[in-house]
Amino acid sequence: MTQQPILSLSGVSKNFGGLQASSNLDYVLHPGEFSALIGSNGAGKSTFFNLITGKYPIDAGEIRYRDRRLNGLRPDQIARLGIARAFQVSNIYPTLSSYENVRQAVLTRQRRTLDFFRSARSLGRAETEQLLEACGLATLAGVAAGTLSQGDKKRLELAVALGTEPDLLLLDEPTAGMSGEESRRIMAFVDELNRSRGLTILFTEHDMALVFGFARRISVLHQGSIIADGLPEDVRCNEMVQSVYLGES
Amino acid sequence: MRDSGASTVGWLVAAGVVAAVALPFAAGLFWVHVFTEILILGLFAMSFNLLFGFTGQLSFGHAAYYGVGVYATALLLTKTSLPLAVCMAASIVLAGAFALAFGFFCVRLTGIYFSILSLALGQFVYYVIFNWYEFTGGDNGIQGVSPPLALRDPYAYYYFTLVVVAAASVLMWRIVNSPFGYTLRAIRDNADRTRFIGIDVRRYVLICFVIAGMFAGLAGALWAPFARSVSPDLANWTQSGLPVFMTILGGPSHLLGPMVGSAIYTFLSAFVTGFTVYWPLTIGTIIIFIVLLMPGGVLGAIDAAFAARRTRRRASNAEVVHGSRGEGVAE
Amino acid sequence: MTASEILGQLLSGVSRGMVLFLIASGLTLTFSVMNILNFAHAAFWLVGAYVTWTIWHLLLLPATGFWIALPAAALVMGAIGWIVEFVLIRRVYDRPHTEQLLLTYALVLVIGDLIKLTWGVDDRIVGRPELLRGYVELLGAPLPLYSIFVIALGCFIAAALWWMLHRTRFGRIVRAAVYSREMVSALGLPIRRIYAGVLAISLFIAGLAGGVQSPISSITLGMDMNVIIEVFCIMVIGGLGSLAGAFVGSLIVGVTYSFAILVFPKMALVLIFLVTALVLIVRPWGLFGTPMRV
Repeated sequence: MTQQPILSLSGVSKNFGGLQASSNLDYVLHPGEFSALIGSNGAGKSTFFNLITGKYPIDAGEIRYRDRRLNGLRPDQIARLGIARAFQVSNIYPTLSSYENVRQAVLTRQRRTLDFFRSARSLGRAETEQLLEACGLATLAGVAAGTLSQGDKKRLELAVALGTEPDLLLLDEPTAGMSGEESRRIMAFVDELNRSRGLTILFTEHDMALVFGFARRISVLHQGSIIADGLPEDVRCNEMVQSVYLGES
Repeated sequence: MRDSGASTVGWLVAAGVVAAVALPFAAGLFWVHVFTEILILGLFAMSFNLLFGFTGQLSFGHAAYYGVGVYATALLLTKTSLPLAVCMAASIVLAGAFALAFGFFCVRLTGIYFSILSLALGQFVYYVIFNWYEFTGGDNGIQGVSPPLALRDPYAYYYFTLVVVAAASVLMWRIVNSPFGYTLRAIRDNADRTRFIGIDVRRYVLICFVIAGMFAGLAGALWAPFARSVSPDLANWTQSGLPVFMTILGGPSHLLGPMVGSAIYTFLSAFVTGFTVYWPLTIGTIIIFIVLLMPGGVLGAIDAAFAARRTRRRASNAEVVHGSRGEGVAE
Repeated sequence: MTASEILGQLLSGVSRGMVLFLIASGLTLTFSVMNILNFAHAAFWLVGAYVTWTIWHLLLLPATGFWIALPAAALVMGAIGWIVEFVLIRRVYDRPHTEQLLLTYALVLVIGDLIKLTWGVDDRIVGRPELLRGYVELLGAPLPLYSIFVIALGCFIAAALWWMLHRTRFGRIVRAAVYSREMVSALGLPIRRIYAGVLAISLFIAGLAGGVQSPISSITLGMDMNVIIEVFCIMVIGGLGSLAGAFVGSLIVGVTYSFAILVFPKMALVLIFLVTALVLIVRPWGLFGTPMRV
């Protein structure tokens, strides 16, 4: 591919009080990719997302989104550039309804959140309902999000992320807490978003069947570094990956 | 109105407005005075609750902005011949300016730190008023603050206050139901999530802080010509406890909850001060009993009953109902 | 300003800071152990001052009565602390901060009126004990013995608190309770009695602070209102929950005040808020800010 990458990390490092969470990371993602990030617990997957989205400042290196340097930007500034994120532990608005959860993202994207006097009820309705429908939450629109089941919360989390109409979607364990059937359905939905809209997706996942079943590229994180990166078949056969995984589990 | 819970509230509001318009005809001068006080303190408490109920941050220095409003109007009315409307506008702007300056620091913090800093910065206003004898009269206060001739009659001033407070309430209602208002609720529920969808959280809380300060300034501006004399205590931290108490009493999850709290507090005060000077002891004891025996405030129980009924209705109703909130304030 | 004037002002600032530390240390202790911010702490301090006056007054020993009145008042306050925990505070541990704040705010109102009912509206002052009426001279500056006594007492209490928390079984349990209340309960330790003990100690020290205040200036209704704000500033400067922070914060506030009052007599307190705001901008968690640690 010769086009400009949508996301690139070069020489990125992060220390937490002496603990090296990421060391000299290099990573490039091109528009339209559907890529997975795998690695054992503590390999640095969540840190990887936290650095991209600006939750923690990086110690060294550079992160670029298209032609913008992300170093030093706040999470809200990065989000506005078109990077959305769904969290591992579902991170929604518990006292707001599902509908209001998604609408918040939609209105933020439409830059209407500094509108002080118009009623929010009539705004962003079509987009919100469409997203709820697409994520299978239409019947739960009026329910307080805090009372949803674990699987529904994860779907809402995804709908909120999609509500910001991102160009790059980061999914941290999108199927955690879901049944096998539910997991496949949500991954198929994400896959469809990638194929039909060309949405670039980077996700982490524990379930290797899902990873190898859906991702078209896999990167393996180990102790804060990427030790393998390529097509699923190549990664599957990579000796280093096998030794890390088999050696550790 | 969108569902039965909300329409019940709607009927209660309508009943309240009718009562507020009609009651002075039935009551004597004393009660007109009490009603006016309820409205002004209620507006003050509602302004506090914009910040507390909708962003979750408890300001214990809200009297500062009320005090700025009180003194701006009192000083302008006694030292210039500007019309009352101009004095009130000046109060609002000035209170907003103070809220902007102090809020700038406060919004960097959350929780108990936010409360303590807002308290400490708020006291700044009190000490300046208290010590600047040449300008504010220090602890002597300012006497002879009189409203324009047309509003000298207590009934006239009551209706004037009613109109202003009603207009302010409608404005607040629009704000909390606007996209901005929902963004505040989102911040209260989950500030971190809100950042990651692209909201600069501090900026929104600061805007809310300033709006809350401006409404407090308006309440103060109404108070000065009503009370005719003002003192620095109106800006002291003990005054800041008032909206906190009224809000907890009336319930922070409704916009008008603090107004209900104000009504209960002010009636009690009018009743008790009739036969004892130990009002703080009385109200303190009442607060202690309320906190010990009724967690969530007097209206908390009623609120819970409503919520239960609403949920039952919803379960039986396939129609998508949105826009209504389950509970009150998240920590 | 001459060196001796500076020295005199410094001593009075440090001595004032020590009284503030006695108040702030108890507040810090209850905040970090019980996780409750007690608005009424300064009101209890004022009660301590009035109790000291009453005992001193009844003893009819103007020159030496202070030595009996001071510890007696502290003991009375300690007992009050135990009772208040037992009757009120223990009922709100599981409540939101808001309701706890409201409860202690209500206590401020109640105590203010109870003082008015008990002692009336007249100002009271305790006679300085004969032993401490003199001065020592240093660099040509006459330094009041009483200020030196207050500083010594403050340092002694600071040391005693440290010893209690780090060298006694009770202190170990208290520190464990800061980390995990459930754990302490699970170990079969009487957590309720420990909390009552902590509030008793906290008010005992507040009583001492009230006692040493009573000969410094006349005791007036409502003088707790400003003090509680100053103590909050101290806690914010030092870091909420840190005893070392309370000590340093008290010194900063005491000394700032005693010099500020020379330059801007009316705005001395305002300056303290500016110092507080400054610290918060630079270190939002305070100078010794490891929150929730004793």
